[in-house]
Amino acid sequence: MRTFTSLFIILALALSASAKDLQLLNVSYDPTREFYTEYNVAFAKYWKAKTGDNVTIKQSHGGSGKQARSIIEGLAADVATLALAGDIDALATVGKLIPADWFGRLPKNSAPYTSTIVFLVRTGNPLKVKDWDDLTKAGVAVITPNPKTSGGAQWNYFAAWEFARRKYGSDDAAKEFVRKLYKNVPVLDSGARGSTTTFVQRGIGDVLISWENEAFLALKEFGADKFEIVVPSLSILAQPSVTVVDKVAKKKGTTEVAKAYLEYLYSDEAQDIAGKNFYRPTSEAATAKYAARFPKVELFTIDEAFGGWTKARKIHFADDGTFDQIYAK
Amino acid sequence: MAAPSLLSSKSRAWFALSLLAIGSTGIHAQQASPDELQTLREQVRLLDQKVKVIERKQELKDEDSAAKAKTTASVTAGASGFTITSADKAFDLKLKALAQFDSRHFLDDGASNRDAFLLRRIRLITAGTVAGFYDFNITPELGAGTNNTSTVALWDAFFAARFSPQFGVRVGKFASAVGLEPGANRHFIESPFVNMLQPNRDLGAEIFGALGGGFVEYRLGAFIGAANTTTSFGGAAADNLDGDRTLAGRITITPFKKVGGVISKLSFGIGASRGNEVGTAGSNISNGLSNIASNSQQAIFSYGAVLYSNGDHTRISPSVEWYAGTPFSLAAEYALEKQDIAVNVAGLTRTFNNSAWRASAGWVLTGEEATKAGVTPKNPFAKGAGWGAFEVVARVSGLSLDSKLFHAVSDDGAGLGSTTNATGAFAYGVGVNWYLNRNVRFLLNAEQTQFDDAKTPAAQIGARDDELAVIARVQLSF
Repeated sequence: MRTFTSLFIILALALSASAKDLQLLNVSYDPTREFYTEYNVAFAKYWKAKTGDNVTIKQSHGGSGKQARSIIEGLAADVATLALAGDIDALATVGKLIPADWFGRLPKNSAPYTSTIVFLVRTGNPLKVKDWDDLTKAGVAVITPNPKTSGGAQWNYFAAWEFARRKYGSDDAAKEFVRKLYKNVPVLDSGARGSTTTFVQRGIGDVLISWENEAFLALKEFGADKFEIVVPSLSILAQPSVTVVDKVAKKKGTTEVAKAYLEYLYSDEAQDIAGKNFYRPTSEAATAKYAARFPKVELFTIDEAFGGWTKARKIHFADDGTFDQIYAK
Repeated sequence: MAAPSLLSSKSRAWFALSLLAIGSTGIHAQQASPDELQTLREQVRLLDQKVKVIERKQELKDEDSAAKAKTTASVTAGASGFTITSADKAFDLKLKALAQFDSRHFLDDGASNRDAFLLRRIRLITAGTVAGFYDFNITPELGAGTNNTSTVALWDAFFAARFSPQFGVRVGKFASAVGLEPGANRHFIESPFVNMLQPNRDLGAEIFGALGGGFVEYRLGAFIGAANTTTSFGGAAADNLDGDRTLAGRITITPFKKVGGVISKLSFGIGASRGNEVGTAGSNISNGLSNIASNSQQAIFSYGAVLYSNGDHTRISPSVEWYAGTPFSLAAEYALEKQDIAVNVAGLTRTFNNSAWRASAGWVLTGEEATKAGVTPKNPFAKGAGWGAFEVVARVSGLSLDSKLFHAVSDDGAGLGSTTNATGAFAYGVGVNWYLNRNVRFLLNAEQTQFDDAKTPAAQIGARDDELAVIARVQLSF
């Protein structure tokens, strides 16, 4: 028995001595702070139980486009969890950091949770904002971030464009509609969180075009008596995407844990955390659990309406693209 | 973090109330209708929004500037040179320069035509740090040490990795560890005899660091093995002929470092080198032996064309330094070398011992702290302002060459002439150093040297009884 106990202790010590301390950097976009803070704790616990290793995850947040550029310019991200598949694409096409078929490496085109775009207005909705049309009216101050730097802002932009194209029947009409809308934007923040600050904390503007989860968070943090969510007649299915940054992870020796970190986003536990943080889960169980929380709205995808991110961004957000033409006027 | 607002919320409230008050005055006077009141309220709301937008834009601008500052390299120019530093401080590039213009004047030394103006040192120093702890230094010398401005040489060229304060590695060409750092000689314009028995720069690799919080500093490395006073970079054929490495190092102890007070800066050191050095007869470059000059850089001893280094060469050099954080400074050093030298072309080899020493001290009359690098004036020289800092200095030094060098070869010697060479020397001198500011200094030295033997001035340029030299220097450094 004594021999067995000794062997057990030696084995336990050996295992304990071999436990590794790992560190990941998750470079993400603005409104995911709260979600990943909670998720990181859950994953670290899961990984410790599975492997015995300690993993610490550092977070970096900012406008999605800016974050993608930072990674391309050398920010050592093990994983990127950005607002747009287009920003992840840039890591492949511009940065050559990941393979071009990155989206097929994880379920649901590497989008473990979704969201959409809604309006946040001040309580009582004094300007009676109901749909995208109302945002182009004279005297309505609209808050939305700069689509050149913010992924969320691109979702906003495309949602408004598609609404106008369907309602008024042409891209020219949509362009004029979006031009009018941006004429009502007094401040362009670089990211979604900055726009929320502008609207909620600085008291500027009448309507915030917002990620759904960000709007719910504002209600939760600042009081449902101060703001209201308005759901437009048409919105976009926002699919924030995730990837391991292969070249960085390989260099740092973190590929295995980085892959596991993203795969665990599809687990029941992670999907529940996503729902709790006002993201629309993709698992059946969590979707059912949080169904009552999310309003019904007609949603379209970027692929359906704009032929995918590559094409859409080239037309709208390349230098001298449609947005530059609209905003310069 | 919120940027400072253009108007505080209190100011905004007063501003809005003032507008309302102005509006109210008119309303009372004219009994405004509810519609007019509503219009006024709307105007105030719009004004409030405009002010908030201006504030927010300024806030975003400030945030943007702060973010850019985190990634933008900074450029600084000042008394320490010109520096470009990356935002994370991990990379920097420093551009520095050193220019020395000297005047030498000799009084009553039994010879003539020694007075001269010369560009003593013209160096453009490029140094910096890469990736946080890799340092480099590239220092070309232009017009080095002569009045021939066409001379160009690579003075320093090294790369160092500072892994921790306790351990680093340096490779390339840099100041030898055998003697004190060049800064220790700053009291006088020219180095004393002790430097004649030490290499100047050497080419190799060394480890270095400080232990016990600076209680002990060490350097230890392997080098080509530069001859005395030379800077080894392939020029001296003797450096490479032996196919051997010279070990060299220095250890410095600051025993009272933790005591505090002026005594805490008193340090003791000892440097040494040992290697096999083999030259060839024919010239004083290839023979691996360096002729000896006086403190005013005049030749006083030559090994000639027959002798050459041919075996072990050992140097040892203890020292003491005291830059006490006060106007007073002191440095003293001794050097002993033991070298195997072939005394004829047949390779008959004998061992000779030479030694030298010096002690120098300074006192800053204007009260500033004396440091190894010099003195930073409290009141830099400028018209209508200060006069800079003044320091008086004094030095004694000596040289003792092995008497067997002057014995006949048949008498266990090297056969060198004691009438055409000095066999030893003793020098004493005083000086005044004027530090106009951190970058410009003017130095004036007078030094008397007494030579042993060498009573026949006509035979060689270095042979004379004694020498009184007055040397002046204007130095610009940044």
